[in-house]
Amino acid sequence: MSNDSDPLHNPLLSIREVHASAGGKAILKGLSLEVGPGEVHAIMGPNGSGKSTLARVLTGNENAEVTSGEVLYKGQDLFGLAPEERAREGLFLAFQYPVEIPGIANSTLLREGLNAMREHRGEPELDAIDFLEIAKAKADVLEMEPTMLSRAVNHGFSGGEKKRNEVLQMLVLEPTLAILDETDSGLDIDALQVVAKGVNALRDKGRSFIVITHYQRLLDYIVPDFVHVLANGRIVRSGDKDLALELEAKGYAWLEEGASA
Amino acid sequence: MNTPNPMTPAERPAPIDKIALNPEIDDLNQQDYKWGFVTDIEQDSLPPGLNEDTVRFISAKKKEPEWLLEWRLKAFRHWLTMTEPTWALVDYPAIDYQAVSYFAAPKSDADKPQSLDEVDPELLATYEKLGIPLAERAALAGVAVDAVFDSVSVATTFKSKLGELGIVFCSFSEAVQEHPELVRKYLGSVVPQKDNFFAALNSAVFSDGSFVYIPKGVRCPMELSTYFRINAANTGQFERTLIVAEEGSHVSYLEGCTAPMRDENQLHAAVVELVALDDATIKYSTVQNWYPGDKNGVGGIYNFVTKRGACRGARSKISWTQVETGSAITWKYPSCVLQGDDSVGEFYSVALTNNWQQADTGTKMIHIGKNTRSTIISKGISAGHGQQTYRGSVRMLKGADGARNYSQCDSLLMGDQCGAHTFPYIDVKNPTAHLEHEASTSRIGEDQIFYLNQRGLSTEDAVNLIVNGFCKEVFRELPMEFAVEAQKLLSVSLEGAVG
Amino acid sequence: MSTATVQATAFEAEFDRFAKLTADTAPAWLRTMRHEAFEQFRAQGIPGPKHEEWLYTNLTPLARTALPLAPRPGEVPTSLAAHRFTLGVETGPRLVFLNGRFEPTLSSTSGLPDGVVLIHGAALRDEEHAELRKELGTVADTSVHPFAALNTAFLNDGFVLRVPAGVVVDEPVQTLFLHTPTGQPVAVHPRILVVAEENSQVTFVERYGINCIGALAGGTCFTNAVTEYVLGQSARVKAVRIQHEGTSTYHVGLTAVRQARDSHFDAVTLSLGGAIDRNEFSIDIDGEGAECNLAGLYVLNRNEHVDNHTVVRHNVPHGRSSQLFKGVLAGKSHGAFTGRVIVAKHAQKTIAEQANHTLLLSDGAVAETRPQLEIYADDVQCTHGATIGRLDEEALYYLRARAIDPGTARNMLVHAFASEVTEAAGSPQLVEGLERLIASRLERPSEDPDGTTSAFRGESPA
Repeated sequence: MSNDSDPLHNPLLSIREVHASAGGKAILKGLSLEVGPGEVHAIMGPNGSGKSTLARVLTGNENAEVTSGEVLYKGQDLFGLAPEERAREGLFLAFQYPVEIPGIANSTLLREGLNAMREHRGEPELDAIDFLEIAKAKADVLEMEPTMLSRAVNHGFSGGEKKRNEVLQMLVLEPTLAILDETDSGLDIDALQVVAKGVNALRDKGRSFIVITHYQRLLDYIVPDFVHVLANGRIVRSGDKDLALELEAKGYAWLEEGASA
Repeated sequence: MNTPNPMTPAERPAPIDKIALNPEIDDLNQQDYKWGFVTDIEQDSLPPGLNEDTVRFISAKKKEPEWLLEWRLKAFRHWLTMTEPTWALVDYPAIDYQAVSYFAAPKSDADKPQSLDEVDPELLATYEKLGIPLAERAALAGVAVDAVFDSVSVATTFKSKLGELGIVFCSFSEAVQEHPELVRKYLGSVVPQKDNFFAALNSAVFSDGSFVYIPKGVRCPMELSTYFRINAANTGQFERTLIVAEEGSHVSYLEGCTAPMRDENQLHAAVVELVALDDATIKYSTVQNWYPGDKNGVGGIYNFVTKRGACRGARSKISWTQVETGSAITWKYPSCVLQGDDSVGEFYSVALTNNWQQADTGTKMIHIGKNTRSTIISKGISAGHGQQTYRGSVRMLKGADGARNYSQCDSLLMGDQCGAHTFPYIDVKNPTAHLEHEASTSRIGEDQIFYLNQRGLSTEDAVNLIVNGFCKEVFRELPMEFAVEAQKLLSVSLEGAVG
Repeated sequence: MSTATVQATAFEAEFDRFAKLTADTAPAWLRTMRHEAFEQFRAQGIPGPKHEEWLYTNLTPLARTALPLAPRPGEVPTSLAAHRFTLGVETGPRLVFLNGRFEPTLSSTSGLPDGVVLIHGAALRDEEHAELRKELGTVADTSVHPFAALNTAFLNDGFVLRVPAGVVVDEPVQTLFLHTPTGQPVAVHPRILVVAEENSQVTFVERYGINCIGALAGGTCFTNAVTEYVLGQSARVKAVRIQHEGTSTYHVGLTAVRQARDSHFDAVTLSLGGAIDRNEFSIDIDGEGAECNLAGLYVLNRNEHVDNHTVVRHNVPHGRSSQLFKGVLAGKSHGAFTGRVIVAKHAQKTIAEQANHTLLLSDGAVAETRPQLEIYADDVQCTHGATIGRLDEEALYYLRARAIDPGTARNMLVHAFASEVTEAAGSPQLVEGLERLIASRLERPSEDPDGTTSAFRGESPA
C-alpha cells in the first residue's frame, strides 16, 4: 500500500498500531490500516473482534480508551480533536445503534450540524428554506417521506427507519470519510438496497468509506476496494472483494486458525 | 367515620406546634422598634423588624385610606397566628422575620456604582450573552444613569393611548389613590389575607406593585409589561399585582426580571391576583431570574410567591406561563379557580435548578363550573446539586360536570447530585369529569450528547438543543421576544452543568 | 407527637390486660418485642387527616373506641365449605384463622415439599422457634407505621412460612382470616412472615373475610394485619391479597417486603369493600437486579372507602418496579391511591413505573390519587400516570350497536378494565378464581346479601 511520503497516495486516514480497551478490557491490539481518498474498505470479523471499538476510537467515543498508537487523519493527529471537531473535519459515523433524542427534530439536528461544518469551512450558513430543499432531495434518494424530517431524531423509529435515517444524515452532511457500523444489520433486502443506493450515490474520488459488517451480502451492493478481516483486535488478513466471498464460504474459524499460525 | 376532605398544599395550615419564633426574642425586638420610628413619619426607611406599627408606617407613608390600613392590620394579626409551611421539599435556615426590613426607599444614586467599570465583570458577561443592549445593561446593574428605561416610562409613553381605551395600567399605590373603588372591590378577592403564611405577610406589608384594569369588550392593543420594574424598585420584595379583565376583554401581561441580581439572601413574597369575568382572557407570562446564589449556594433570593387567578365568568380563560431560572428557593403555585362554566385554566412552566437551587413549584386547578378545562405542562430541569419538586393539585368538585384536565410533568436530570420529584394531588368528585396525568423523569444521556457531537455539534450546543427540545411546548406559549430570551437564559443558567 | 396524630388512649388499657394475660405463655424475647412496639405505637399515636401519609383516611375515632381482642369463637362453623375460599385451587395447603386464632379443624397443612417450615398458632411462641427473631419484625418498620407497632404489641398468633433455598412450592399456600360475630366491636391483629430463601419459589394467598357467607358476615371489627416478606437472592414470590371483610370492618393492612439481588416480588391485591380499607405496601429493593410488580384493584360501592398506599424504595442500582392500581367506584364510595417511588442517590439505571386508573360510575363517588416520584439519582427511567373518568361512551355505544344491552355492555367494559390487574396473578387457576370473585361483586346480586352490586350494573350516571 501507500506511504506518507508518496505525494500521489497521501492516505486520508492512517491507523498505526492502535491499542484500545473498553470497560478495562483490551480490545484492539495493535491495529493498523490505511485508507486512501476515494477508497471503500470493508471490515469484517466475528463478534467481539473489535469492529465497533474501532469505530468508537475513530470518532472519539469515551467508552473506548486508546492505550497506545496513533491515527493521522488528513495528516493531523486525530486523537487531538474533540468528537465534534472530527465531525466538522468530515468524519461521519453511521451508528450501529442510533440514539433516540426526543424533542429535537431531525431537520433541526441536520441543519445545526451542517451549519457547524459550513462555519468550520468558512462557508456561509444555510437558511431554513435552502436547507430544507437539500434535505428533501436527499430523503427522496432514500425513498423516505419528507415528514421524516420533522420527526424527533430516531424517536419511536423502527430499526429499519433508524438505519435509513443514519444514511440520510450522511447524504446531507456529505462527509469525507464515512464509517458505517453494521448499518446492514437487521435490514431486509429491500431496505438494504436502498441503503446501498444512498452510499453509492455519495461515492466519488475524494470520499472514502469504512464499511463494518458481519455479512458479505452488503458487499454485493457496496462493492469494496479492500476487505479486511479483524480478529482478536488486529487485522489478520486483507484482500479484495473476493476475500469476503471466501470468508462467507469458509467461516471465521478458518481465519482464526490463520491468525494464530 | 367521615372521609377527610384533603386540603391542597397551600391551604393546609402548618401544625401549630411548629411556631418557630421565640417569644422572648420577639418581645425584645418589638421593644426596640416601639421607640424607633412612630413619631418620625418622615423617615425613608425602617430598621429591621415587624409589628403593627411597621404596618401603620407603610400605610401612612403611602397615604392609604383607613380601610386599607385596617385590611393590612387584619392580615398582620392573622399572620401572627400562622406558622411557616413545612410541607414543601425545600430546606433553608429559619427566616428571622424580625431581621427583615419592610420598608426602604430606593438606594440613592450616590450609593450606586458610578459606571459600568465598577460592576462585577461576571455579571456584565452574562448581560452580554443575554443580548441586552448596553444602555439597558447599565440600568440593570444599577448604575446611576439619567435615563432609566423602566416600566414607569414605558407605561407613561403608552398611557395616553391606553387611557383612550379606558385601560388602567399603573402602580398599585397609584391605583389606591386613583381607583380606590376598583382596588377595594377586588383586592383579596382571589387570594384572601388569610390564604397562607406568605400571602398574609404580603397583605400586611406589601410595598407596591402593578394594577391593571381592562374595561368591558376591550382588547388591550399591546403586551403590558413590567420588564424592569423589579430592578427600578430595589425594595420590591413584597409586591402585589392585581389584574381585572371585564366581560369580553383580553390582556396579555408580561412580568420579568431578565437579568440576575447580585444580592444577599433576600425574602421575596409577592401576591398576584387575576380576575376574569365572562368571556375575558388573561395571559400572564413570567420570566423569573432572580439571583440564584453562587456556585456554592451562598446568597440568592427566597422566592415565596402566591399567584392565583379566578375565572369568575363563563367562558373566561386564564393562562399562566412561566420560565423560572432564578432564586435560591422557589415556592410558587400559580393557580386557577375555574368558577365560570366553560372556563379554561392553563399552566405552562419551565423551571430550572442548578448549583444549589431548590424549587417546589407547580399549580392548582380547581374545577367548580361545568365543562371547565385545564391543561398543565410542567418541565423541570435539575442540574448540579439542584433539587426540584413539581407539586400540583387538580380538584374537580361535585358540580364540575364534564370537566377535563390534562397534566404532563416531565423532569430532566443532568449530573448525579441533583433530584427531581413529582407530587401531584388529584381529587375528583364528579363522575363525568375526566382527568389524565402523565409524568416522566429522564436524563440527558452521554450517548445522546456523543451522537450530536458526531454530527458536528459542540457539547454546549448539544445540551442546549436537547433542553430547548424538552421545553418547546412551554416556550411556544410565550410571546416571541420572551421565548428567545427564555432560551438564552436557560443556556446561560446551564453553563458548566454538563461536561 | 405532632398535631397530625392523636393519642390512642383506648388501646392502653387493652394492652395492659393483654400483657398480663399472656405474661406466662410468651417467651421473654416476645414480651420485650411487644412492649417496645407498644411504646413505639404510643409515641406515634394514631395519624389523623393532617398527616401527609394519611391524608385520605381518618382512623382517629379508633383512639377513643375500646377494642378488645376478638374472643375465641365458641363454635366452629361447619358451613365453611372449602371451595368458598380456595379460589378454585383445592389441593394445596390452607390455613384458616378464626378471630385471629389458628383453627386446625378447618386447615390443612399437607402438600408442602420437604424442608418447608410452617409455624402457626401457639407454636410461634415456642422457644425452639427463637430464630424467628432474625426476621420477624425486621421488615415492617414499627417506628414509622403506628399500626404495625400496634400489631406487634399484640403479637400472639400468626403464621410463618420458610421456603428453603432452591425449593419450589407448586401449589399456592392459602390463608384465610375470618371473624365470627361477637355483638361488640373487636380487634384482630393477624401477623404473617414469609421467608423465601435463595432461588426458591412460592405463591402465597392471604384473604380477609368472605362475602356472602351468612353466619360469618357482620360484626364490627378492626383488622390490623401485617405481612412481612423476606426474599433471598433470586427468590420468586407471588403474593395475592384479598380483602372483603364487608362494610362493618375497618381494615388496616401493611405488606412489607425486603428484596435481595435478582429476586422477583409480584403482588396482586384486591379490595372488595369495607367501611375503611387502608392497604399499604412498603417495598425495599435492596439487591441489584431485583424486580417488584404491584397490581391492585378496588371495587367499591355505597360508603366504602379504600386507601391504597405504596412506597417502593430503590436503594440500589439496576432495580425495576411497576405499580398498576385500578379502581371501580360506585355509590358514594371513596377510592384513594398514594404511590411513591423513591430512587436513592446511587440507585442508577432504575426503571420504575406507576399508574393509577379510576372509573367513576356514580355521582357520589370520589377518587383521589397521588402518584409520586422522588428521585435522587440521575440515570433512571421513571414514569407515572393517572386517569380518572367514566366508562368510554364510544365503546359503550359500539357494543350497543352490536346488539348488546347497556347493562351487559357496561359490565363487559368494567371487566375489561379490571382484567389487566387479575391477569397479573399469573397462574390461570388463580386468575380465574380472582375473576370469579370480582364477577360476584359486580354481577351476581343474588350472592350479595346487601344487594348492592346492582349499582355496578347501574344506569347511565348522566
